[in-house]
Amino acid sequence: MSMVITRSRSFSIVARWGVVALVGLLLLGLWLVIAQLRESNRPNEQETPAAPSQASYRSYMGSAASLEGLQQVERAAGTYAHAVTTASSKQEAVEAQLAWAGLLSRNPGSGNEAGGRAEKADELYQSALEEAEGDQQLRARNDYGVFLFRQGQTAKAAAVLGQIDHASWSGEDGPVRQARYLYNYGQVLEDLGRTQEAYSQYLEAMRLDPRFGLAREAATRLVTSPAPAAVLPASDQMRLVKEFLGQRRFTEADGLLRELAAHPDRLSGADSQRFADLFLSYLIDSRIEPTSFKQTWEKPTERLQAALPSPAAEQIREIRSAFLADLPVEIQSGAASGTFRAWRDAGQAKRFSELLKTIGDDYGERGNLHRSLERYSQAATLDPTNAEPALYLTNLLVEHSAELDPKGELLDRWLRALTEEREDRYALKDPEKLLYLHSLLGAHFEKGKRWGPEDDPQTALYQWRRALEAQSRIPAAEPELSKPRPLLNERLAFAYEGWGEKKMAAGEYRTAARGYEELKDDKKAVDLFARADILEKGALLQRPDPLQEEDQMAAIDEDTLPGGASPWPLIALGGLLCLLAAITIRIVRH
Amino acid sequence: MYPITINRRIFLSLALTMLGGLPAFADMAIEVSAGSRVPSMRVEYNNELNGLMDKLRYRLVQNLQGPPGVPPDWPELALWKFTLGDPGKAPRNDGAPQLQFLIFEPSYMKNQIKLRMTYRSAEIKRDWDTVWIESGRLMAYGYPRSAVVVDELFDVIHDQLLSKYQEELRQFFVKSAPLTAGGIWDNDPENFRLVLPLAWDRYSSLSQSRFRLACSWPEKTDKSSAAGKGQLSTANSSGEVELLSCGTGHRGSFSTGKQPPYQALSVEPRKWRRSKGEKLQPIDVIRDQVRKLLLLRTYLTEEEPSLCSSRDSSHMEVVQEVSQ
Repeated sequence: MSMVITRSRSFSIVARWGVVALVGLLLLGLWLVIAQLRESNRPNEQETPAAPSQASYRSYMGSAASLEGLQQVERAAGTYAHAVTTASSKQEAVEAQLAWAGLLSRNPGSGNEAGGRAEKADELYQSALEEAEGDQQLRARNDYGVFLFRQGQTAKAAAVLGQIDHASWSGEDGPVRQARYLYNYGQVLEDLGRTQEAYSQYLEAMRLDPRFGLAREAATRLVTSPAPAAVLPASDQMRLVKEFLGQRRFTEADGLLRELAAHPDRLSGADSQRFADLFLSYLIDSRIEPTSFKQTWEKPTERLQAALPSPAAEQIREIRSAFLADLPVEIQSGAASGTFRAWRDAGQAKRFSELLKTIGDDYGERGNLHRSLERYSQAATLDPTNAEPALYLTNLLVEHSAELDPKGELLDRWLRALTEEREDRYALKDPEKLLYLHSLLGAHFEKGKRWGPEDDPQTALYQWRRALEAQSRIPAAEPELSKPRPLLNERLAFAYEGWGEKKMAAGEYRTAARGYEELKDDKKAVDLFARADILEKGALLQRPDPLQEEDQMAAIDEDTLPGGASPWPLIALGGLLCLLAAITIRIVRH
Repeated sequence: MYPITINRRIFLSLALTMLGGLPAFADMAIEVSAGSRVPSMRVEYNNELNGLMDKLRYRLVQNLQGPPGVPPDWPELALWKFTLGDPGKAPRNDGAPQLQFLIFEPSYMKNQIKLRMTYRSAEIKRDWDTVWIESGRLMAYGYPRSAVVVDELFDVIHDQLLSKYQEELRQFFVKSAPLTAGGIWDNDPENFRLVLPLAWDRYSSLSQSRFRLACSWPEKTDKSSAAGKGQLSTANSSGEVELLSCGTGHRGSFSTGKQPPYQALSVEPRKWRRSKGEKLQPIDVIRDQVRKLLLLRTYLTEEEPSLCSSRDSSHMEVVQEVSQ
C-alpha cells in the first residue's frame, strides 16, 4: 500500500514538473513571438524612404538592366533615357548615361540602326566625360576607349585609354577596376602591333587581380603563340612564370618552364641564370618529389645541363644531383660544402638548402633514410644559420641509429661539429629549434642511461643543461613559449639523480615543482616537492620516470566542448518525460 | 564533468544547421573531418580525444563557412557549403568532395607530429602537410593541455594550411566541388535562362561569373529522336552533358513548390559539350533540346574567360578577346 502511495506521489511530482516545463515552453514561445512582432514594427533606421524622383530613377535603372538582359535593346535604351531625365544628381545622371552608352556599345546593331546607335553612344560618352569626376571619370574614359575599339577606331581608342593616369585608381576595388582598364589598353596596343607593351599591361593586370582570367589568358596566349621567340624574348616569358608562381598556379608555371627548357638556345647570358633561379623557386614552392622529378624533369634538365652556359649549366647539374644522386654525408664544423658550390657562389645557399631539406623529407617519407640523411647534412652545411636541417639530421641519427649509425660515429662527429659558434648562430635565428635539438639528444642519452658528467656532450646532463640554456634565449614576446616549462627541469633533475648528484637533483625537482604550481598542476607539484625532500633526506625509493607517469602533464580541463557539457538538454529531456508521464496518468485515471 | 556522449554530436549537428548548412543541400556540401592517428595522443588525452576532434571539426566548419553575420576569413572558400563529416565512419569513397585534417607521425620521424590537409573528390586528391609538434618538442614540453590543444591545432591549420594554400584549395573546389544541386528553367519560354538555388543575398558577387552545369536527360525522354551531328543524344556514357553558362547579372525567382520562392542567381547557357575534355560548341545548335535537360550540379569554372566578359562585376566595359 505504502509503495502505491509513494509511487502515486512521485507521479504527481513528475506531473507537476511536466506542467511547469510546459508552461515554461509556452512562455518562451510567447516571448519570441512578441520580440519578432516588435522587431518587424520597428522603423528601419538604416533605410529612409526614397524621395519620389530617386525611387523612379532606381526603378528605371533596374528595369532597363532587366530589359537588356532580355536582349530588348531599344526598350532598354528608352528606359535609360527616362533614368537620365529623372536623375536627382549629376552623379546619377552620369551613371545612367554610362549604362545607356554601354548598352549601345555592346549591342551595336546592323545597317542604319548601327550608325544611329554609335552616334548616340558617342554623344552619351562625350557628355559623361564632361560631367564625370573621380572614379566615374576613369570609368567613363575606359568605357569610351572600349567603345571606340569596338567601333574599329583603334588609334583613337589608344589615345583615350593612354590618357588615364595609373595612379588615379582608388578605393577598395581600385586594383580590380584598374586591371580591367589595363587589359583593355593591352588589347588595343596588341591590335596596333605593340605586342611587348600589350604584354606588360596584361602582366600588370594579372598582378593587380590574380583572378582576372582574361588577362591571364591573353598573357599566356602571347608567350605560347606558335613562334613566341618572334614575339617576345625569353625574359618576358619568365616574368609570366614568376607571376604564376606568385599565384600558386603551378600547372601553368610548369608548362611555361617546359617550353623554355625545350628551347635552351633562347636562354643566353643573364636569361640562363634567371631561368635557373626561377626553376629553383618552382621546385621549392610546388614541392616536386624525387620520383616526380625523375619522371618529368630528368630529361629536360639533362638537355639544359648540356646546352646552357656556365654557371647555369652547373646549377642545373646540382639540382639533378640534389634530386637523384647519392651524396656524401657532410658533418664538419665550419666546413663549406663543395657539393653545391655553384648555388653557394650564386648567393643562393639558403634557398638551395631549403630545397635539399624538402627533398630529404620526401626521401624519408619513402623510407630511404640514407638519402634523407645525406640531404639534411648537406642542407645543414650549406646554410649553417638554419637550425631546421640540423634538427632533422639529429632526429635521424638518434631515432634510426641502428640503421644509419650503428657504431655512433656519425653522432660523435655531429656532436663535435655542434660548436659554441654554430649553436650561437642557430640560437640567434631559432632558439626554439636549438632547444628541441638538445631535447632530442638529452632523451637519447637518458634512454642509454648515459647521465653524466655534465661537460661531456654525449650525456643527458650536458644536453638537458644546453636545452635549458636555449630556452632562456627564446624571446619573451612569445607568450606560450615563455610560460613555465617544468618538464625540462624535471628531466634535468632526473639526469642529476641518475648521475648521483642528489642535491642538484633536489634543487631541479623543486624548480620543476614551482613551475607545475604555476600551471595549477598541484598533484605533480606535490609529488616533486616530496621527491626533492626524499632525496635530501637520503631515503631510497624507486625513481619516478617523468615520461612514464600517467599524469605528468598539466592538469586536464575535461570539459571544453561548447554547450556539449551543458545540463540543459538533460533538463529539457526530463521536462518532456514529466509531461509524458502526466499525460499518461490522466489517461489511466480516465 | 560530462563525458563525450551522443548529446554533443546532436549539439554539433544542430549548431551546423544553424550556421547555414541547409539539409536540402547537404549532399552538395564539402564534408570536413578531423582525426588523429598518433597513439601517444590517445594516451595523453585519453577519453577526451574524440571530443577534442569533434570540437576541432566544428571550429573548422565554422571558420570555413563563416559564422552568421560575420565576414568569413576566407570569402572565396565560403561560397561553397561545408558540413561536418561523420566522425564514426571512414572517409567516404564515393567521389563526394571532402576536406580532411589528419594528425599523424611521419613514419621516419616519430618524434615529430604533423598535420595533413587532404582535399579529395572524384577526380582529385591532394595533400598539404605542415608540422604541428616539431621534432624534440614533446620531450621538452610534452603535449599542450587539453584546454588549449584545439586552439593550438586550429591556429596551425588556419595559419599554415588554410592561409597558405587557400588559393590552391579554391582552384580545386572550382574544378570539382559543386556549389549547389538542381535548378529550374525560367517560366517565361522567351527567356533562355536557368535559375539556380543560390540565394541572391549570399551569391550576388557571382552574378556575372561563369558556371559549368552538369545536366542529364530525364529518364523517360526519348533520346533517339535527337540523333545526328551536334545533337545531345550522343552524350557521354554517364548520360551527362555540360553547359557552360554566364551569370546574367540579374536575379530570378527560385521555387520548387516545396519551399517559398526566393530571389536567386540566374544564368544563361552559352556553350555545351558531352564530356569535360571535349571541345565546346555554341548552344544555338541545340537550343530547343537543352530545355529538356535536368540540371544536376552547378560548378564555378575558370574556363573560357571571354565567354561572358563584355561587362563583369567591376561594372567596367571589357573588351572581348579579339586578338586570336
